[in-house]
Amino acid sequence: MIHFLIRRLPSVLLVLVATTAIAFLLPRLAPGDPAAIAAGPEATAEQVAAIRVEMGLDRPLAEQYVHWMGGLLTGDLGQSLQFKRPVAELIGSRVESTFELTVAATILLVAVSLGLGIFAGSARSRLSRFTADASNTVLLAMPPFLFGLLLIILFGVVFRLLPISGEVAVLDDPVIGLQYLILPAVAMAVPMGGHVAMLVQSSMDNAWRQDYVDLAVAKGVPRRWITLRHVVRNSLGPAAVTIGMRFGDMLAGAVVIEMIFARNGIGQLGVSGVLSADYNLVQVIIVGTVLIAVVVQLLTEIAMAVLDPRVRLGA
Amino acid sequence: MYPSNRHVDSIPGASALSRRTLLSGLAVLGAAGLAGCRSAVNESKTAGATSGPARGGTLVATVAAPPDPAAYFTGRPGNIFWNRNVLETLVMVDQDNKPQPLLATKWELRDDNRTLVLSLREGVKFHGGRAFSAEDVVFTLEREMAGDGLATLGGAMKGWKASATGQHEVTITSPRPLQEVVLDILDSTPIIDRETYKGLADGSKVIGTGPFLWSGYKAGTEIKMTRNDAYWEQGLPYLDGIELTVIGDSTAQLAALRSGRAHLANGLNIQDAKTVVDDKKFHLDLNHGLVYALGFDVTKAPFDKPEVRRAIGYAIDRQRINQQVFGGVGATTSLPWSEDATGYPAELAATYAYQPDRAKKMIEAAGAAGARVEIAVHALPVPRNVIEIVSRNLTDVGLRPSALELPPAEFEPRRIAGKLGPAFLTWTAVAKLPPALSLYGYPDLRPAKNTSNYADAGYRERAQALIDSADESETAQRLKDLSQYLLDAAFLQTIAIVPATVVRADAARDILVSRYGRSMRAAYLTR
Repeated sequence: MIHFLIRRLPSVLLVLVATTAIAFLLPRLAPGDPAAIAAGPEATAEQVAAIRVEMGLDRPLAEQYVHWMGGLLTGDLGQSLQFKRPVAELIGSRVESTFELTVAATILLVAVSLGLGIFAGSARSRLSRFTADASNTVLLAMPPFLFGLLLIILFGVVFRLLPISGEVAVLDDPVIGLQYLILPAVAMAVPMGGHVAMLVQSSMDNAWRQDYVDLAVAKGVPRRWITLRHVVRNSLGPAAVTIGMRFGDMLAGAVVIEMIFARNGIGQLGVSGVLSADYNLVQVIIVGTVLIAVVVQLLTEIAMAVLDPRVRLGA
Repeated sequence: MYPSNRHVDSIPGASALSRRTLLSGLAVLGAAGLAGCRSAVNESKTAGATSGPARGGTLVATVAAPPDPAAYFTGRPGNIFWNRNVLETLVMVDQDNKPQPLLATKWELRDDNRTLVLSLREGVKFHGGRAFSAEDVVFTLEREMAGDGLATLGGAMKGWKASATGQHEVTITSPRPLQEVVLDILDSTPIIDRETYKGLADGSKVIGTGPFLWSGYKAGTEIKMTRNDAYWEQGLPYLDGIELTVIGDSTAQLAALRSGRAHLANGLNIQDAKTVVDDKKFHLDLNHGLVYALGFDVTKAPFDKPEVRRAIGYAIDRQRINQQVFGGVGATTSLPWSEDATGYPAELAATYAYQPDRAKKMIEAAGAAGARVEIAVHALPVPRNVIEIVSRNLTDVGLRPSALELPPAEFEPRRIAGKLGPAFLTWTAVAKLPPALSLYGYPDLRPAKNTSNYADAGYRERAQALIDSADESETAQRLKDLSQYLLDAAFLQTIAIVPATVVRADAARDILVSRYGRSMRAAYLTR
């Protein structure tokens, strides 16, 4: 695995360097002036000009990029133009919220999608098949924001069983924090589960037709044993890849879920940064997101190699 | 493939416990666990007093825009629930336009209204423990005149001299009469601590004399305020604290109110607000607000012709906009001033009543029929809804309008630079500001460098005359003169004046409302 990681290092570094250039240029190419946003609509042109100098936006682009890269390499992510606070501090104060939500949603996604997929892939009766297919269809057709709103109405307004607005850090108060986490995590994970479940189901259907399954059956191996030991294990590869890809979707989907459940995570910080043309903040979030995607991709490849001995890392 | 009807053996190593027993046991354990657990739903309901003013409780407020401590001399929406509770002003002008004494106990105008003498409250201390004095007022006014705290009324203070004429007395002299503007300027001026005011830039240190201490801040997310036990008024505040949280989405704010998490919400659209307001559990509090107007760049065809600009005044169906977009809470008018302005010329307010036939004829006579008109508009729901109706109105009178939606990050810079294009829809928080102050604070109305690029000596003279008015009768006469000139020039067509709205839970009582924020100094919570 170490060899695999070392071999991948140059391409990872290349991707990250290219990302910094794109992340730096992209927000600046979009129309908008952070100085004018900060100054407000009643400001005069003179006030805006003074703020632009204060923010360092009057300097040449190349100089701004070199300054930012120098900061990145020394651990200084820069200063938010909107909040006048270190970007690292802003992200640090939000990362726990997003991390909790994404981890909880990922656990739920794995549980729901594998549970439903394995159930569908092992179902023999017509009723079981119909139930599994209907569940998959409903999940596929349900966007997370709609599912979230339904959960809010059901569990927050009609029955008032769970909190529907705000958050408490799980590390600060696990009992209350988990209750705040349940609905947003369910809203984010469950609709995504349909796609993964269908993949698992079709992979299992395919696996059931393989020779090694017939051999196991002929030898009198119990069905449950064949399911768990041979069919499920050999069907999880595509699911692992998809869940890895869905992790990125969850980070993106967190923007909407954070909004409707009034959670202040990285997604909301990113939206706020884009709306206020906070270049320094947005560029760090873009680089961070790409970095996470690269790490998840590496982990996915490692997971596939663990699941399927035929897959060799870096082969 | 495994035979579908084959008996299924248990897998090696499986427990002898039956599945049903296992699930039942887990369900019982889960139910017992839940019953024993604390409920986040119950804990989110903030406890309060039983009835009447009494101590205790934490008031929770939400805002849609993030608080901006650096903009301490403005009335930014994100600042309305913290600014007047941590910092305090000399006077606070309430929603009835009556000045309420706070750090100033009395004030007197002298020398033909060009001098104001303020008597300051004694025994007031900043949160850091330092005594408040006249020097702090002088320092604050000087910072505002220098443009700190993103001050927007600095232009109206040009030439002011503030001096400490006693430990608790401040004298302000001005080259212009002060009677129309000075209290509104002081209402916009929270007193800052000269030793720590730089901490306001990033919210790292926010020290004032207000009833609450700035005790926690997460930029863009939340502010926590706790009771100032050393507050100058004995017995106040009643509340233990205030929590301010940012919820950007209107639906999510609604959820926060309905679930009992929040007592106050600023940022709900009027349609969402009306779904929860019943005048029993929730109330809709209105104050001051926004002026919505359609402006024209007078250097660009077809709006270089005043007849076309006037025609559009007759083309806009203001009543329909008010009913459909603002839920009927706004006031339709042709003037950008509020009815309680000194000498308000009420007879001119309906100058541009909805007369589409007349507008059509005027546009044809001006040779502008069929002209393409691009209207720049904020890419936000309310302006978008307004412009939909305006576009229909303009189509009806023979123009070919199209909306150019711009994100705020692009709209504002173009507005400041006067480069929004031939027509634009703006909304500005200047409602109920004295007209003489609006001429400084409202960028679309400024006599020079306005959004419309309207540079006219007659307009400048009349604006300056209003600013220089020595008394009420002169103000009334000059306001009428300026209003008539403005209506004729028609570079800005006012559509409606719409109050700012805050949805308040019935449990939150006695909140003092001003243009720039809410003071909770005497607020309390009922159960």
